[in-house]
Amino acid sequence: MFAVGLLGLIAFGLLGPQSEVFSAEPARFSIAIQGRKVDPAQKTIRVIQGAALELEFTADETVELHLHGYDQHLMVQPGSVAVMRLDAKIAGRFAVEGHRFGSGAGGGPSRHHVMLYLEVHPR
Amino acid sequence: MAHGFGQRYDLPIPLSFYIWSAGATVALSFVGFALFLRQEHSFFRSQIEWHPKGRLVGAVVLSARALALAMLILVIVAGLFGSPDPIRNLAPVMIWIIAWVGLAFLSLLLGDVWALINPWDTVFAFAESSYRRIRVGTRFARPYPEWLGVWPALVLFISFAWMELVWSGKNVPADLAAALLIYSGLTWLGMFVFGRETWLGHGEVFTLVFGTFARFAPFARMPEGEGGIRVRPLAAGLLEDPPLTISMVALVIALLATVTFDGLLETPLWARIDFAVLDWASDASFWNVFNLREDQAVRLVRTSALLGCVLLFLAAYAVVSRLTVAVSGNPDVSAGLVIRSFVLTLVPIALAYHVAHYFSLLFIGGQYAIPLLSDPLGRGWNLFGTAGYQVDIGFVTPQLQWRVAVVAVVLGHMVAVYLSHVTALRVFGSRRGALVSQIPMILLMVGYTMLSLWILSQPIVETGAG
Repeated sequence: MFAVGLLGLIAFGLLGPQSEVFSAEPARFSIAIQGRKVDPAQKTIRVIQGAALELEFTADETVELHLHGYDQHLMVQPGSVAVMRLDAKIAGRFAVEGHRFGSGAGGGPSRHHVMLYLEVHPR
Repeated sequence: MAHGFGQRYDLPIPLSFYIWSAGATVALSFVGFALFLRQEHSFFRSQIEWHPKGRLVGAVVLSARALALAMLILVIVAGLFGSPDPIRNLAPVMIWIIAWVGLAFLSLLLGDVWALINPWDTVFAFAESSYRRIRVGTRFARPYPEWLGVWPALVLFISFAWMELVWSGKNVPADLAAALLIYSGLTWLGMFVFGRETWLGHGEVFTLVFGTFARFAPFARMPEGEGGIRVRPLAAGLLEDPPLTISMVALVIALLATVTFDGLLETPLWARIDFAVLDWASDASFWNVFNLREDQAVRLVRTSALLGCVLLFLAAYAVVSRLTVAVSGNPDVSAGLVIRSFVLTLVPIALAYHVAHYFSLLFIGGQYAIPLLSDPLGRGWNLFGTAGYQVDIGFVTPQLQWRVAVVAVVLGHMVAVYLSHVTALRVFGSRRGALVSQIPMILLMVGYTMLSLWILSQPIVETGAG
């Protein structure tokens, strides 16, 4: 029947997205954290699965970044560039959270801050 | 601190999937109109009866009951005495993912599993039969007031949804254990006062909720006293015994509303609302009138929105039911009858959205149960040798997630359209009346499906405020 056929096409991916807009080249992104925020244009970083990534962070105060899912941590100090390297092997949408803003000496019960999202799109 | 538990890494459904499935939704609604409307297919009333014999079935059921009771006790013990870290304690993953999401999946595929394993029922039934053996002829049950319907279960269900979506203690193992203990006491009290069966049918919220899901399943128990299993077409159970009572209608609509609200909370739209509340709460005097902290202000807004969402769904359904009566031109059919007859036809869409929304959570988040069963209290034990298991977040790929989501939502929609046709034929009698009367309900269904698809097409955003 027509209906079953249509669902079959969706299920087997014949009608899936043709997402050729992403590059699989080794990708480098420079991301500046200012006032506990990133530039809105960098709120979502999109790459294609399998890409080698270098995320270069600078910040105006000390912060510990945590990439969820891949579970990578990175300390960023003001005045220097900190680099997070990863192979984007697993597709999905992963939050990068900022923990312990400031000097990190205990601090207040600051909010959990999602700084940006990393979207790894399937090939 | 609660991060890491219950997280999902779903990519939003791409635009092309969205457009294809939205198009299919609309197209299939009209295919449904054209094909199905002539008469009710007798196929949908067919069933096979199966009477399993021997002790094996009894033994399987008994061990499933024992396992479920052991799990309830283990989760309470883990919550009370285990690690306070939600990802090192068995309680959160067992309650929110394995029990709530997992049992819903099992119910819609296999039938009313909960009725077989309900641990609160197990304990009470055992206590009751022991007591009766000692003092023959004792009866506990007080008559259950008819006007109370399933309203107790509705109140409990909204409380449960609030705990899942708003409560600050939802990932705090000790709070979860306390909630389970309170609910156990309440359930046993209800069973003691009104009788076990009566409370299961009116106040034990999970019996009613999983029972509603299980109406979709191809397997059902035989009527009381006959024993055995009926095998029926998928979703045929949703046509079996309407019209429902008004309180049951409200419970089913609340179920639909909360599933949708759960998705809505993760959209960028809701994140903006949360941040707006946080901004107000941090500097303006608005919330100070109530003497609220930031997080309390966010929870207050979410609580009101949850209740508002349930009321909105009830209102939309009531309006559409009235429209149905108005356009049908049949003076013998009241709006009340329409309201009570059609509500279960919406259930497949809710189930489909439930599957689409929770599929990856069940199979990725649910993996946390594997290491935690070996170390339920987070004390470094390794009971089954699985404590070192690493969760594989690539287990469900985005493509699989998308296809499951789209196929589920479109299929659920199609089944809902069909059930609604059959119900219309039964309620309105004539083919013509049924045809015209269907238009408002179909529009409601298309709108509900589109809303579900829209939510699935939104990226998941965490504000960290909840």
